[in-house]
Amino acid sequence: MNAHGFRRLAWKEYRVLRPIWISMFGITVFLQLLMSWSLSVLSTPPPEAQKVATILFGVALVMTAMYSLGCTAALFAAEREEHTHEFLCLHAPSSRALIAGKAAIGLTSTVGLIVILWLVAALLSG
Amino acid sequence: MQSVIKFDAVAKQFGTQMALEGISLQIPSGVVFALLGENGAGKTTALRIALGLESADSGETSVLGLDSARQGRAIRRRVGYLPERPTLYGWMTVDEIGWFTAGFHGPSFQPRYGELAAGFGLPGDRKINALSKGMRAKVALSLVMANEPELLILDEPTSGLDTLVRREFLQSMVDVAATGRTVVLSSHQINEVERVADYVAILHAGRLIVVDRLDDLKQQTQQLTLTLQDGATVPEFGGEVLTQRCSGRQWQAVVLRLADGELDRLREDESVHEAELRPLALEEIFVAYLTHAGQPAAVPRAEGAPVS
Repeated sequence: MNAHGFRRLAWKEYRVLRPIWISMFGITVFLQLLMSWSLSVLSTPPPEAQKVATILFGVALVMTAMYSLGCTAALFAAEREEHTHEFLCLHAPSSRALIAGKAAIGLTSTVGLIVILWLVAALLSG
Repeated sequence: MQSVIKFDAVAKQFGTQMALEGISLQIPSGVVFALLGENGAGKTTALRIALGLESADSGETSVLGLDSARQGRAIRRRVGYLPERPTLYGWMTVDEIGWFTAGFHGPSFQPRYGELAAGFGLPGDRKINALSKGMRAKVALSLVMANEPELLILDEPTSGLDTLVRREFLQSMVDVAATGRTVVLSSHQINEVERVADYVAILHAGRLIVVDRLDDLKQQTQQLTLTLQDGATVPEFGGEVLTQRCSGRQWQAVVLRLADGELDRLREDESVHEAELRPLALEEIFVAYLTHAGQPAAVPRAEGAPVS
């Protein structure tokens, strides 16, 4: 697949993954805020900063793992479910290039999510 | 004439259902070739095997000199294929799907797609999900034709299109064939196909029951009506009867290859009061062949047909 094809495939996958990514980011940040607030307000005495950080990083990690599963389903299984894989099969130059393109985009978005969620966790845990 | 598609004793079975029973067929280049048959006759399976989207259980298929079993992707790069139910990304707009697909093809794809979409009157900013069935079919057609492929394979291309667009589209297929490219189409719209096809093949229950030039098929297959004298039986004549029915003194049959001079001889026969021969429309020929194929007798094949 040439650069044009890869860019357009990336654009398509970005459009497919965008709502999942945004939802997962929103839910995780909400959970991290909730955890952070409940640990600081409800626990007596308040826990150590390192313990809070571990919990918030853990939430980020679990949610990113869930995103990666959802992302894989959206990239591969949904394409089969909606029979659009045949459309790609008819136009794209090779299955290997398609899979590689999809995997690269899925991996990039997953890495992007974990990095941002860890930054949020670091901010919240001080 | 060079063949663009070759089927050699191709068979395919889905579970206990025999989809194709050893069909052998050669499709010449630069023609409009119509593949006809009732639902489940094996038309779509044959086309998908040719494109390497399905594998045959036995036999060999080649398209543009490439082996369908091993070089399916190379075939699909050179062939425009419109499936019976084209799947498109519903969330994309008409313009976006053209732009997206153009990424996998040459630089001429997008301008050509734009021309075709505009010609079909498709609104570029409308999401595909919001389009009618006919408009979606036009998007799919534009995508297939934008690549200007050497061979167009269209599975029920006109379903969902309104009459005017259907006629216009089929005429454009004749124009495509006039440029030396080949169009293979399967269709239920037999009367529409009749106006554009050069060759016709009829599939029935996975078997190829006839393949011939349309003109030759129409010339060889006619309706013979005999009004018999009281108490007389149908006299012997040179020709093959595909279907027949009797109503009172009138005997009517679809006959294949009625021998020269037979009509005059029948008119002079003592048992015949009147004899008439009339040409048939493709739809009537199609029905006659299917009716005949449903009977246990041997299936005829028209002379000079490009089948091995």
